[in-house]
Amino acid sequence: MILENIFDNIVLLEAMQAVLFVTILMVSSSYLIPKGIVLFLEWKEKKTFRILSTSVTYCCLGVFLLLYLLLKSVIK
Amino acid sequence: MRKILTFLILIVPFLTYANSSEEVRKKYAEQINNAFQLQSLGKTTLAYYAFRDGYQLALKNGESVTKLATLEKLFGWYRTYGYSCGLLTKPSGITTEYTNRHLKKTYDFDPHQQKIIRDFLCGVGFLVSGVFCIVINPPLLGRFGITFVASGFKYIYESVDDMIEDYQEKKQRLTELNTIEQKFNATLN
Repeated sequence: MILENIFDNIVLLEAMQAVLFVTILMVSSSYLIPKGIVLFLEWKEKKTFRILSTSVTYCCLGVFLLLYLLLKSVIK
Repeated sequence: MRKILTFLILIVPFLTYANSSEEVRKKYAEQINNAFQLQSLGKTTLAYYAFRDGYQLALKNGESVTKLATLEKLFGWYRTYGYSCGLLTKPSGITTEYTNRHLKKTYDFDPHQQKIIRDFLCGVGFLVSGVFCIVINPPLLGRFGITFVASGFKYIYESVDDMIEDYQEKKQRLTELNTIEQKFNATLN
């Protein structure tokens, strides 16, 4: 891919944006947030701070990415 | 014979009037042309006064306001985007001048585009390092890794969004120029 032409290739840019949108949506909704919830359930049994902090990190980042996508799609 | 003489005497003012009008027209056309030439040499203030004088003279002599408005728009466009499009040798220096593409001759991208590319590459770097962190040591580095991945996604998405915006701006500017050109051609025809 010639990097110099990337600014003029609107089809490629829009395709990249669509792929990124879907990837971010999938990663946050089917990996980050569920993993955060699983870790939270694990913390309920083991009561370890390390597991709780990891769970909070996963959930927060998942929600952050979803909110970011939402705001980016709404505010243009 | 007397009738012919009377007719000639009556027609002389009309003939002289037509000639003087044509001369005035030539004069203000030259002034406006001079304004564009001065602007291309980087003499912004002189160009402005030349255009203003030509415009006012044309207006006084009953030139069409639509034609003049189109010319004025073209002159404004020339001053705003002329340097960034490579039409002028020096920047016009007016307050509304478009300055994003000043370094185009030195670099492949203008500063704004360079920033977008930097953001994009930074995002890719974040993403790759995040994935490495998660793969190498999930319990300890996993948390940082996930943060890196999320930041990477954010940076990449934002830079692609900026690239699309940049393209649309460029397209809009070209459309603007085409519209002015069409109007200009329409007034000439």
